[in-house]
Amino acid sequence: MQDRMSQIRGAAPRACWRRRAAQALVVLALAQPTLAWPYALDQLLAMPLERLLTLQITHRGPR
Amino acid sequence: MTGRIVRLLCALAAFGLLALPRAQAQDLPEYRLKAAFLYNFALFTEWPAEVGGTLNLCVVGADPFGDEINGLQGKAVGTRSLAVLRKPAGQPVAGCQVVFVPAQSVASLPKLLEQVKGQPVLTVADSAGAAQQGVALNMAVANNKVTFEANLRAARAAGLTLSSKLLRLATEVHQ
Repeated sequence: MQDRMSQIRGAAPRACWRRRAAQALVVLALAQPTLAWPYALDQLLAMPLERLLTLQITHRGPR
Repeated sequence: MTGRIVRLLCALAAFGLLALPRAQAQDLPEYRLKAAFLYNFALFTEWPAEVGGTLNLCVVGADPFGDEINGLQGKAVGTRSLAVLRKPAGQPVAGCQVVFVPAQSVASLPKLLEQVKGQPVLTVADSAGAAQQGVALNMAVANNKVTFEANLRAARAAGLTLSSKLLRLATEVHQ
């Protein structure tokens, strides 16, 4: 009986840890737009002209 | 133990898949992309031998690029290298091989075109109707994407040859 109780107490924190990890993954995935890195100029210069024509501007006008 | 690794790999794969469509959301200011187009315009233009080892890229008048264009400084264009210069509107553009006239300075365009007439200068603008006015390459924004039109006659008059690739990708080629 004592052993059975110990097993139940040990299983609960493990399940909780898994749930928290899954929640963290979902939050990270949803937060991706804010994590998006900017295109560096050097990255653009390395692209073929055809590719540049397909890129979408995210901010219009002068800096 | 193996089950745990499999679950972790599955979670990583799911995260990767969720991240993929969002790769398009990368930050891209208009004038950073236009700076990359300017570089390509210089690259896909055949320059006469009289042009030396440096191509001076001059931004005329109000500079919409800020620091974005400074990254082109010293970049190789074939056997030549680029130098970025700023010129006040209405001032001579002697020594410039690529002249960019931003929309804010388009009023100075007729005088500038007269100034560079017959010289190996690639004129570039980003104003509606600039190609019809005599600019060799004119950029526009449509559906948040940069497009460009070419004025073949203006380029030829300047003694420049625009590559067939450039002409193929232009939305319009004015003969």
